[in-house]
Amino acid sequence: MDRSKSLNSTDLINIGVFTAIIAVITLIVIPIGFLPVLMPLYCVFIPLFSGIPFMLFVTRVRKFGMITVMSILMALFLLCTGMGWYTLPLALITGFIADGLVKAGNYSSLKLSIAACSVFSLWCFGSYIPLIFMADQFWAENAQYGEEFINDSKDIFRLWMAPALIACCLVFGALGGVIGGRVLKKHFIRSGIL
Amino acid sequence: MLTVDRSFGFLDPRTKLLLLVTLPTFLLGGAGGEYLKPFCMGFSVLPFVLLFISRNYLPAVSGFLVFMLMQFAGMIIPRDAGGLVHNVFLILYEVLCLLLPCGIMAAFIMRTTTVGEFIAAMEKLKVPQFITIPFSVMFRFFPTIMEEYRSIGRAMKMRGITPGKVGIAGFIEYRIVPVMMSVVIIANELSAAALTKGLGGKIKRTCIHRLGFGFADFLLIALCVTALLLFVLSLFDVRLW
Amino acid sequence: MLKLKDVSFTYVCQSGYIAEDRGPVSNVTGTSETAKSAQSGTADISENSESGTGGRILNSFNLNLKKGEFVLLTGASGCGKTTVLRLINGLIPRYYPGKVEGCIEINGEDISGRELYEISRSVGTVFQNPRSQFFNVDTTSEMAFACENQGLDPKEILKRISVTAGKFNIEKLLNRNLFKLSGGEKQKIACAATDVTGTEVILLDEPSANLDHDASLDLRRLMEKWKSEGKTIVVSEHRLAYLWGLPDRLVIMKNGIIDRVMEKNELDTVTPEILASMGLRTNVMENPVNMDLPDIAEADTSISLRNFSFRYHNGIFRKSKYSRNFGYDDVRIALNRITAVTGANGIGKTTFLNCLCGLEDNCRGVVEYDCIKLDSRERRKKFFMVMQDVNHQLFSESVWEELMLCFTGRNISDAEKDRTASEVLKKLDLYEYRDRHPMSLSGGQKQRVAIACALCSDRDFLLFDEPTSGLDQSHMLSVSALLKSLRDAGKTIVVVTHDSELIRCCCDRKIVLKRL
Repeated sequence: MDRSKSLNSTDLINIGVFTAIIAVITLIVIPIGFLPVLMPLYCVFIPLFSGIPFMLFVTRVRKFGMITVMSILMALFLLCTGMGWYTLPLALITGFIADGLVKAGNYSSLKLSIAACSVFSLWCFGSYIPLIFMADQFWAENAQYGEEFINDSKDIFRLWMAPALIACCLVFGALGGVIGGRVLKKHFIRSGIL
Repeated sequence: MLTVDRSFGFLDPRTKLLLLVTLPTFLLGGAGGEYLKPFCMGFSVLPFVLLFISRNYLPAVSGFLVFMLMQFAGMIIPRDAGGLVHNVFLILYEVLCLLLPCGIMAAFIMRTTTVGEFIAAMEKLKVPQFITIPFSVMFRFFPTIMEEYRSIGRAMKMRGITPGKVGIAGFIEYRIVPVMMSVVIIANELSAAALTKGLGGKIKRTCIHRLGFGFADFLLIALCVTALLLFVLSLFDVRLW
Repeated sequence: MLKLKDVSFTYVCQSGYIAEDRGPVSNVTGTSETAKSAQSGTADISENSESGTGGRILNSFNLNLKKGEFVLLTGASGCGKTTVLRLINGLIPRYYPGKVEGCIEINGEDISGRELYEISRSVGTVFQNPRSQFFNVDTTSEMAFACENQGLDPKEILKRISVTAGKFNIEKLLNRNLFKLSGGEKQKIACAATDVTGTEVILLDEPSANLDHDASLDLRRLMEKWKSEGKTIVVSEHRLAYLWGLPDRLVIMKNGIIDRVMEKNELDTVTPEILASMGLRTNVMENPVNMDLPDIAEADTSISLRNFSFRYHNGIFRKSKYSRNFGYDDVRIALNRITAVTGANGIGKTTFLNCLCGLEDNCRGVVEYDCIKLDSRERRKKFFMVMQDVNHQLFSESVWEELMLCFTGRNISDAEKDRTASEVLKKLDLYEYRDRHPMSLSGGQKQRVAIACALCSDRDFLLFDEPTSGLDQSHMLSVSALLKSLRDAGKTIVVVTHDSELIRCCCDRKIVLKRL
């Protein structure tokens, strides 16, 4: 058993592998958001589907910091796909909290793992930050696109959307965690792959 | 003598990283507004130029044509006509005009940089190992995950498993779970193999990729830094025009 | 130079299954019996895993190698060959936990106190599975990887890569995407990567499992080069033929102990019959492509494939020239016979099977059976494929559920379903495992589950993709017997294989796929 606190190679490889799975899920869901009306659905589908890989990942987490690194990686991944760097500070905070939650349960509590999944999923909200909070600047640049159009878009991405989206992330993240836990029991533990 | 040169792209990976950060900030984030409009236009066109120079002629030209078509369409379609379809079109158009350059930029960088060069750039920028190693594992695993996903998809087709027969939930379960099992097994084997190759030692890793800035790099870095500088200054109400 | 003295290893199973109120607990280092059995493909360690407490894998094992000696370890699946290799390269007990007794010395130094990365300076390992031994995406980076980890000067690393590439004749493989190489090319890169590190001891764990005739001979040439350089080599293998003549010693293991050791003078006179009597594979090499089997006989009824072709489409941004395109004007597959499909690695045998089964969209051509043309959808209902990686086609949480899945969409009563499933399971010796999760079974058992699904699906054409790769003699014979019994029951069998012994044992016909 590795008793040191720092992350060793196996841990880092595990982080990379599971982040890759979640990144693939993200890549599959992103095309939906090309239509801004459907963009809020990121916060529904991504947390929901990443629940399974995340819960599996949590069973391999035994040190503080692994979920934080995963969140940072997802933020960097978004950076590489051209979605901006705003997710990074958010991911640092949510990853940290999720790590704390899992550690608090001594790495063996199912409920706290689901809670961690929920908090971790908040990284999805990061892509919306420029659209919601810097909307005025955004549309000032593109003022030639008609009153009604701007108002419509502003309507969709008003400030009140922020808590709604955050709530979505948390709720569907928790749901994803619950599903993940069940899938774990049904398949991974029964087969001994765990 | 064997040399590993930057044959996969004429830009230093660090320049590419800078571009990855700058473009979305200006295009998606709308930094600078009207004031920095020329820069935004330049940035919108930049990805196509880069594609062209790196000899991806067809994608460069066709992508650029699509982009220009959308701009043109946006100019001739009456702005004030109402109606749902019209709005949807405008929204789609708007998103494409901004997202397309960013997406193309990202795709260009992905295609022309090897994972090794990327990691080398990050190590040169003093990014710690606990970020660079998982990052390279991520990119190494993407093709593997897609291969497993496709193979399992074929198996499902062969067994006749469709949402109609097993329900949506069942279908998703059968789609995701075997992929994860495969991936977990591969990850275990990969860890073992990497450890036998000395990963995780207390020694500082070296890198065979040599990085260096060329003329194109200086040009692009200057462009990005100028734009960012002007933007920051404009936040303090210091404008040059 | 390399000494194992009275070494025993007891495997300790660390995973704990949870009670309802606690969260999931796992064995973190990723070690489990399934990881082991997955790697060797067919290790029947299921007995040990059932007890949940592990078992004694190796018992008082002794091995003494001088510098430059070449030893071949062989034996039935589960005999402990892989364990010996893992003890030498240090994975046991540092990565796969367990209790090690006895002493392991390299160059006179006990390695038990050494870290893995320190041992990796003296011991290099080539693994069996190409898809999981590469850390990088391109070949040059992979060859440099181990040296980079040791902190060598980049100029030195590049020089070594250049020397190795020249020595192994792989200059054309440098700076290429690993995912686009064939199995044989991948193993060459794996060997080259080990060569670049310049370790004195080289271990190879079933390196030829996925390689065809020509590629395994290429592998032999690499090993000959190493032997001439004085490297100490330990190879664990089932397939003895491709490297016969190289080993100085053959160690046959059984159930964790050494059954018999044959030295060089004995090895020169041994015949395939003697080896077969010991439960080992033959030592005589035979190229499946040249084997004397007709592709179709006069009296056969057959299905025919006309203008059967496949074209792999590149996306807009991709510039690779890699393609598994093929095109055949007139191929006929005999009904109610076992037909072997052979050809070089990478030529598209698996793609051929996928197309036959109706699973590929870019496939064109006509498949005609009994004067009826079968399109993709209809082929999917008539053909069943047992894939190379059986894990990809097992979905349910128990063997029984897996079989029930075969009945969906068909109008069969529940009683009938139960009856059929029970019959099939009993016939394949799987009845007692019906409540087990399919992924907890050994490789051979999983294969039989897939066959059980084929039988329950009531399809007449069964396709097999490399069913015996990595299998020892007795398992290969049981697969052969199974195929024959399926044929006698009226099925038409098509087997993609590079295993000449399997072809000799049970195939009636043979098709050779050639490059377009």
